[in-house]
Amino acid sequence: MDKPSPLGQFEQLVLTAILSLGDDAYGVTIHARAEELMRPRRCQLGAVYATLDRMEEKGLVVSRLSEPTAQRGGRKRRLYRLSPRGEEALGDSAAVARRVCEVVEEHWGEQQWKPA
Amino acid sequence: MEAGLSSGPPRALERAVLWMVPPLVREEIAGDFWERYRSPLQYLADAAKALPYIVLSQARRATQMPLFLLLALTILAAHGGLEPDRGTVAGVPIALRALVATLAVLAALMLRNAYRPSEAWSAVRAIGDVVWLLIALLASQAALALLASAGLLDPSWRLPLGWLVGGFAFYSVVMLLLRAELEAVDPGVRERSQDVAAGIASLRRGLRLRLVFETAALGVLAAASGGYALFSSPVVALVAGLWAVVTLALIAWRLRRAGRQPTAECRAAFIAELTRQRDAGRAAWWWYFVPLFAGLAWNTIAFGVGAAQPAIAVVGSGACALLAAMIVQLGIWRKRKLGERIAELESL
Repeated sequence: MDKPSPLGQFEQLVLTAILSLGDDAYGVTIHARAEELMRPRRCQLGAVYATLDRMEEKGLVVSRLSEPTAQRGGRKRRLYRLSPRGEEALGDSAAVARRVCEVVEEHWGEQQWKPA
Repeated sequence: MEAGLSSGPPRALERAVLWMVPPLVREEIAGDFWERYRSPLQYLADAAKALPYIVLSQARRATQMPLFLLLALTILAAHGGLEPDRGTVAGVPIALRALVATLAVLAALMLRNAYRPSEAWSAVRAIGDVVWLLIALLASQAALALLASAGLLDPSWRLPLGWLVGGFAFYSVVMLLLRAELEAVDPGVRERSQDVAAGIASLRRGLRLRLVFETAALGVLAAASGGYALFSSPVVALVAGLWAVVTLALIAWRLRRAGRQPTAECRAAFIAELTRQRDAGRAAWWWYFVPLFAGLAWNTIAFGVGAAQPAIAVVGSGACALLAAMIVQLGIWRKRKLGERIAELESL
């Protein structure tokens, strides 16, 4: 399979949220974690659904339905996890982000650059 | 447990909201909305903000862009969107009326795609799509009539009956053919069956239906071009009609031969059949559009040259080129999808 295309910023956030949530990654928790990652900005729950849908189609994540739970009115969760292709794409993005951070730190130093 | 159950939204409110959520994602979205529920107002606000994303995402997921653009151009042309203004029709130009009808039909198609009950292809669904489009088309015309009767719009915005019925007959057949051609081999990401026997049975059904649709199209196209020949440009109708009849007959004959070949219900046979489909270089849809190519060439290129209006001829040539490009893209897309399906089966 060919190399995954570079991720958009929101896709990176959603993939990172899924990675950090482990086995508990579904719509509500992914949205909450993505908002944590992108604070002080907010994101729409609908945008998370749309991004998950698109990334599943691109083969970056895979999903399955869980057992129904009473806490959700007897509804199932759609649980997501990264596919190998998604892991590769996120790894590439993280490597680029790391290089960007290094260059910014090198030029601005810690005095000027204080990431939140 | 009980506490969780009692903290959900009022039943009527939940029903109303979930009715608007596309069926394919209703289960998980319903659960997510329930989990976030704090008050009826917050529930409604959550739904109102998320629903447009969900519906658009589902519509996008179910819409194959080359197919959609091809259908858009076909619908526009079939309703007279590329018909030059010959001064024979009073009021709003046919092209503008066709554009309104086309937009209504395309919006209906996207909605229908978003609210599909399953990702698997079925003939019943394809026929349902056609009925749905007919309803949307008639509703758009009824809405125009209502606006006209209220004095808000020129009454001539409605399509003439001939363009309405003839156009719909043409693209509904083309749509059925393309769907049978393309979607029967692509049941979608979530529902791709790991059950090989079910998969091959589904493929066989799809191929049989394709044969039925193509053979039916033979009759419809022959009748349509015959009727067209009686009332309008006989040269175009004769060329398009005869071409379609002969080529569709050849396709039907070839498919019938292929259908007789025995296939065992096993993975190897499934892969072999998919590989055969992929390698066949099947380009039948070129012939589905013969009447459209003929119409475009006659109405735009020939008209533009004849009436010394080069701009129309250029637009016509562009439309023909676009149509051809979409057909080529469709072929590439279909081949890729079949390749993916083969690789998926081989990896099981």
